[in-house]
Formats: sequence, C-alpha cells, structure tokens
Amino acid sequence: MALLEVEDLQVSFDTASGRIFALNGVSFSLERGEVLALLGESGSGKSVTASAIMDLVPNPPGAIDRGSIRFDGAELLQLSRKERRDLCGSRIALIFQDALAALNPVYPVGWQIAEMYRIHGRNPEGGVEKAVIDLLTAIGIPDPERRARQYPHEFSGGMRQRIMIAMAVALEPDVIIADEPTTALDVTIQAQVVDLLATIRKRSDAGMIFITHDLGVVAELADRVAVMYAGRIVETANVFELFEDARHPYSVGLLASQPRLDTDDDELVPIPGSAPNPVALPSGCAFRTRCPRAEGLCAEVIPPLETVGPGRQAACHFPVSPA
Amino acid sequence: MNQPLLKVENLSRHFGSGATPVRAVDDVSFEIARGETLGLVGESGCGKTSLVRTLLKLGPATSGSAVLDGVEITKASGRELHELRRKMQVVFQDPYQSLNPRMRIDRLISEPWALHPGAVPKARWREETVKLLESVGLRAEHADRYPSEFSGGQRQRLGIARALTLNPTLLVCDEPVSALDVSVQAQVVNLLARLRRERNLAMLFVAHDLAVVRHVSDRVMVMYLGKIIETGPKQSIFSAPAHPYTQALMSAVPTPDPRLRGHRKRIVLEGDLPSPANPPSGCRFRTRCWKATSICADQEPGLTARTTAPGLLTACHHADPETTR
Amino acid sequence: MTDTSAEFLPARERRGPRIFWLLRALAGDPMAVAAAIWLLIVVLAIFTDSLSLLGDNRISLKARNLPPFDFGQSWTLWLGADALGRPLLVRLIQAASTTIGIAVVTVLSSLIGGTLLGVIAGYFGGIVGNLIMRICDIILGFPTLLVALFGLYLFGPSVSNLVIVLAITRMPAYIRVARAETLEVRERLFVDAARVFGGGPAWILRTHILPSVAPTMLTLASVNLAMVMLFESGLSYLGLGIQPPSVSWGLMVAQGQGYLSSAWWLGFFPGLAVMLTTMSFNLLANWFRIVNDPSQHWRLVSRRR
Repeated sequence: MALLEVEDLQVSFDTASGRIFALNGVSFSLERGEVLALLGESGSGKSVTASAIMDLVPNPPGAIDRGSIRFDGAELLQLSRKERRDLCGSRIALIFQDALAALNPVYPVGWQIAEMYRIHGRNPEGGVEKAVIDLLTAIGIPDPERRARQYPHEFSGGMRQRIMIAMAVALEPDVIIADEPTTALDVTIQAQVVDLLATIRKRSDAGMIFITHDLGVVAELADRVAVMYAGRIVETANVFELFEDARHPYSVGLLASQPRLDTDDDELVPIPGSAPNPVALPSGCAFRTRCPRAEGLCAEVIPPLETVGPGRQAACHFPVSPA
Repeated sequence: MNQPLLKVENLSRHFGSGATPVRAVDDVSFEIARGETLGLVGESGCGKTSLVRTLLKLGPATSGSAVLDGVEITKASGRELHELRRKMQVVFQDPYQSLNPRMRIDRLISEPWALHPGAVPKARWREETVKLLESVGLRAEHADRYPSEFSGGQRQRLGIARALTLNPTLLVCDEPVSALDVSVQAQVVNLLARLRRERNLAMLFVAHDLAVVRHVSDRVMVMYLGKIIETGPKQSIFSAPAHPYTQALMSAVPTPDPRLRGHRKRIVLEGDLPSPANPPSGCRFRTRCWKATSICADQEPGLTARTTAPGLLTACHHADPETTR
Repeated sequence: MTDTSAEFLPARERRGPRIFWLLRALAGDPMAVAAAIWLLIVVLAIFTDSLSLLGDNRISLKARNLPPFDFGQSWTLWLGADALGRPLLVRLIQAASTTIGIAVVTVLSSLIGGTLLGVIAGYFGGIVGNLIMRICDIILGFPTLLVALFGLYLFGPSVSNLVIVLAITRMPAYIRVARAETLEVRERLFVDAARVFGGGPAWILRTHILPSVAPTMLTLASVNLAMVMLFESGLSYLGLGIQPPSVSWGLMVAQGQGYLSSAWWLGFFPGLAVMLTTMSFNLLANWFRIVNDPSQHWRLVSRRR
C-alpha cells in the first residue's frame, strides 16, 4: 500500500464567470522515501493539489467535489476538521513558497518552530528548546542560539526558507509537500536550499511531493515526475525516462522550450499559444489547441491516463513514440 | 560609425545620505553599440534594477554620466528629456502591473502617441495600433479589450508593442520573461530576438536567468553588490568565466538533465549577500569567496583583461588560471 | 499559501455594457435590492415635491395632531398630521428634498475637494503635501460636532453655511484616503511606464491616478451620505441646522419631541425615514465596495447559486 494515494480528485472554484475546475480527476500515489515532482505551469492545478491534501482549499469559493485522498490507509476526506489539523503539521507537512508571508512577523523564529511541538503536544527528548537549536543547526543556520531569538525580517530570503523547512521537518512527518520552495530565491540560494532538501530526503524515509515549474530542479531532486496540464496529470514517469523520451506532446514541448545553459541554440522551440482559459477548456484533450499532433479524435474524447511502458503513463491519443 | 549608442561612465546611484548610503549602483561603466544586445545578470539586490531606473530617468543619478546618442541622460530635462524618451523604451518585468487595468488596449497602445504629438497623426492611430499588435503576434480585435482579458504571455507582448510605439533605438528589457511560464517564455524570447533583427534595436537585457541571457545576448555583464565584476562577449563569459562569482552563478543553475545529478562540479556559495549599505572592504565578493586572501580585503580589484578568453574583463585578484582549483 | 483561487481568475468577467452587469450583480444581493427600492422611493418623493405635485399643505385646525392610519381621510393624512394640522406625509416628502439635497451637495463638495487635495498631497508630497496633511490633522483634532457648532454659531445657521461647515469637517477623511490610495497607485509599474513614455504629472494624475482612486472614493462617499444626513439631523435638532419654516427630517424629529407622549408619530416617522435612508446608503455602499473589488465577486455569485 502506498503511503499517500490520491484518486480521481476533483476541485472546483466559483468565480464571477462560472464554475472552474482546478483539478479534473487527478490520481497519483506516493511511496515512502520517494520524491514525486508535480511539474506544471501556472494554472495547471499543482498548488491546488497541495491545498487539497493539506485541507487548505478555501471554501467558499472552492470545494472538493469528488475523489479520495488516502494517507497511510485512512481516508482524509472523511476525517473531521480537528483530525485533519492534527495530521497536518505532524504527519503531513507543507513547505510554503513564500516564507516571509508564512512566518508570523511578531514572534521570534525559535518560538515559531517550538510552536510546532506545542500545538501537537510533543515533548522531544531534552526539551523543546534543545530540539529547536538542534534543528536550526541541522538546516545550516550558524549561531543557532542567537538566531533563534531573532524575528523573520532579520533573516534573508534563503534563511527564511530554511526555517520554513525546519518547521516542516520538526515533527518528522511521513509526507513533506514542498510548494515551489525555491521559486522566489536567487540561483545561488536556490542551490543551497535544493542541497538541503536533498540531505533531508537522504536522512529520512518520508515521502516528498515537490511542486515546481522548474525542469532543472526536477532533474536535480525528483525520482518520479507527474506532469500536470489544465487540472489533469498528462504524464507520469521516472525522472530519467521523462527527460530522455517523454511521451506526451506537452512534456516534449516543455522540455524543448526550456532555455539551457549548456547549449547554444539561438532559437528556442516554444509551445504555441497560451494555457487555456479554465472557464472554457477546449473539448476533449485540453492541450489539443496547442498540440502539433492533434487530430479529430482529440476534440471528441478526453484521453485517459494509460500505461505506456513499465511504470509510466501518459494521457494522449497519439503519444510520441519511444526514442 | 563607431560611436556607441549608449555610453555609461562611472555611474553611481546611492540611496539615503549620511555616512553610509546604500550604494545600489557604484561606479559602473559600460557601452552598448547600435543593434547590440547586452545582457545584464545578477541576483536580487545586486543593483540591476536601480541601474535600469537610473538609465530610464525614473530616479536621479548620484554621480557619473550616461550618454545616449549624444544626449546626456543624467542631466536632461524638459524638452530634451521628452525627446530622449522616444529613443529609449522599456519592457517591464511584471506584465500584470505594467498595464493600467482600467484602460482599453487601443488607449494603452496610443498613450505614447498622445504624449508625443507629431509621432503619429491621430487619424492613423488605429491603423498603427493594429500593425503593432500584429507584429507582436496579436490580432486587430484585441485592441478593444482590457488587460485582464489577456494571459501573462499576451500581456508581455502588449508591453513590447507599447515599448515599440515610438520607434526607440534602445530597448531596455527589465526581466521581461521571468514572470512567465516556460512554454510561453520561449515565445517572448523569440519575439524579442525577431524584433531586434527587424528593427536593428539595441537592447539592454536584464535578467537573473543565465540561460535566457545566453540565448539573447551578444555580450554579458555580471553585477554583484552594485559593481560590474565581469564582462565580455557571450562565448567568453559562458565558456571560460574567470570570476569566482560568475563561476558559482553558472554552476548553481540546475541543468535539466537528471543523468548529471551528482556528477556535476557544483560550487555552492556560503552565506548571503552582504548589505549594500556596508559592503565588505576591497573586493565585495570576498566574504563568500573560496579564493579570498588578504589582498582581497585590502585592495579593490579593477576590471582587467584576461588572456584565457578574448574580450573578457574580470575584477578579481585571483582570476588567473593557475590559481583556479 | 499561494493564492490558489487567483491562479484561476477568469480572463473576462464583465461582458456587455456596465449597467447590465451592475444590475445582474445587484440581483445577487437581496438586501441591496431592498435598499435600492427604498432610495428609489425617496428620489420619487423629491421629484413629486419639486414638481409641486403635492396638494394641500395648509394649516388646518381640524386636523391638529390627527393620528396616523386613519384611511378614511385624504391620502395626505394617512401618516397623521402635526400640531398645526399640516399633513405629515407631505411634510416628510418636503423634508426629504432638503435632507437629501444637503447630504448630496455636502458629500459631493467634500468628495471633489478632498479627492483633489488628497491626490495632490499623495503624488507630490513635499511642502504642499505636508501642509495639506497638517490642516487635516488640525480639523481632525477638534470634535466634529464642536467645530460645526462653533462655525454655525459664528456665521449663523443657514442652508449654505450648514453645507460648508459639514463639507469642511468631512473633508479630512477624503483627503487621507485619497492620499493613501495615491501613494499606493503612484508606485505601480503602469505609472512608471507612463513616465517613461514622457507623461508629466498632470497627465499621470488625470489618466492613471484619478481613475484608479475613484472607486474607493465613491465607496467612501456613499458611506458618508448616511453620516452627513445623521449629522444634519443632529444639528437641526439642536437648532443650528435648518430653520423653520424650511423643514428637514432632523428638524421634524426635534419639533416632534415635545409631543412624544401625546402624538408619537410626529417624531417617529421622520426618525424612521432617517434610519431607513441611512441604512440603505450603507447597504448599497457595502454592495458597491464588493462590486468594485474583483476578489470579492464570488460573494455575489455564490449567493445567486
């Protein structure tokens, strides 16, 4: 049994121009010790997936219409608010993209990390204070005793993101969800944070869901990748397979449009058009309007996510053939 | 004609007064030739935005000069400044913020013409608007819509169309694609490259994304804490960077190839950017540099030519190959 | 948390002329509909008054302190009559035009004056801006009622003096809000863009700042309409506002006070009119605020569902 299993998840939001479906039947599973990257562009539904797991979908206007999220055998969507809260933070943790917004400006960071223990009534060996200092040391904050007493604004962006990570791993959760944790950071700082996350995954057997739009970070960190487009998963594959021979035309396009530091082609190959308006998704396959392989069938039938090789799936009527 | 289009000399922009002003831009000199694209790379807080704002006359220069096509930008005012604006335009980073949400596209596009009577006669505004929209890959009917009806990539196309209304000779692109999705980012990069060829535009392309800069630039300039620490032709700077910071910056960019994971030599810098109000003495990078010695604290290195790659200028005491690792 | 719903904001929410869209949005809020209906009645009342469509308003000794709801009488007497036998309904309608008229003129003057001063203070800052803000502080430093009482005592109670005094005491609120909004809009990238195109201060204020500040200011004005009405009622009640034989709702409440035990309707109906009208203004102001804030639109939408 997988550690976390999401099945046929549908999330919708009310807007002034109608109901939009942020997630349209998303299914995936996460094993212990595995890093699964949810790769997608803005509006693909990757962040909503995290919100749904963490019970953070604002209701109204949002609602989880159907589907199931099973964690360690228990159905999360049937738990009470209180039970969900107890799970979140202790066994499922979230690392936010914007650490400055996620940290409370009026409390010292040490206090905020300690809060994790207090909320969940944990009493770490050697006391909360020692645990906080140990954590800060582990995530590479120099002079932790002094730094623990400082406020979020006294830390740089990279340091704050480390503190967010410390808060997330404080209670040794089984699942860590990282929602674009490096997007707001400069490359040199991003490299530090990616290294830290890599260390954490080596040290614990937690499963990690890594949400990002950055193919480079995926290549550095992920074991498996689920590519999302317009509220659906369009391809899942082992990270090596995805970068070597992607099957879904969208994945292929994404890889081709990424400018690279190690090559020197003058023309990039973009995907034509832009992401569809979620209020009026194209019929059939949502990607067909931008797809070079689209045919009549694509407008009529939504392609299901089907197995296209050992351990990999793609949702396409005319997948790219193996390289 | 060998006169550069833009010649910046010893330009500084300090914020605050007193003993320790924040030296956002400190004694910066560079040139851009007609039709050339200069990439400016640096992390947040390095001063690239302040440099851009000073060049665009959105803030005053503290000292130094910047001459565009024979006109001193830092001293221009009134009529002269108004004329100068026609030659130099900008594409801003955030396509959601740079278009007034309450104005229709046709009004947005023609705003510059309203401000510069004589640029395009009013009777031809509609025609010219449509031409511009089409040249950036949009359609005529888009003129009657509002910015909120466009996606991020389309808005950035609108931003580019607006920047071209007055036919500038220099286009400053301030992180034009960093707010866009990868698949769309490539469209905008290609669009800029095409417009540049068609109109012989000179560009100052500011970005933190090295890969994008590599694709669009002829020459590249790297900034750190208000200083230019390395500059040179694209080939030289990307194939043989001599400054430790440039090397670290390049090695930090994750390569979209999982096979290289763990096999690549990576320089992970320690610590964070020091405060620009109180920069380290001597070389500003020395506090994070693995090569730093006592000379770095005492003497500020100047930009000097390197023999390893043609045209490369590096501000480092230890940039020569024998001292590299 | 990243704003997940913003990621899905639709490209277009207003199709067709703005008035249709506004009506559709109004339908989503029943309280606002009720408020709008009441205000419509008040506006109709003002029209009938100004067109002299009302009949009898003479003193009639027969009808002195006639109680309300005597439907055998002529319709003008359905809400009873006052101590001089004047029909209360007609008096209420006449008072409506004074009360609302004073409120609207006052609010318009403080809205226009306050917005201009506030935008100037916000955009230019410096000495002028500081001067404007210090004057605001001084006005705000005194209790509004005291300033009004003092002003009206000095210059004598008249409709125009009342409007001037009320407008000046309300103006600092507009100046402060307009200044704060301007400070925010001034830093927006589209203002920088206009400057790069060569737009001067006048152009930027006219094309970019004023239209961006306007919705907030209009919302503030709609809230203030109610406040000014209450204020005028209070001053009239104290004898410093509207002078007889002119009439306003506040004055009617004051005059009715003496008869509270014998003829309750004299104070009750004008009081009710003040309450319903202020409440309607407030409800509509709230609705207006939501309509002008795209992030709140879902409130209107999901209620309709």
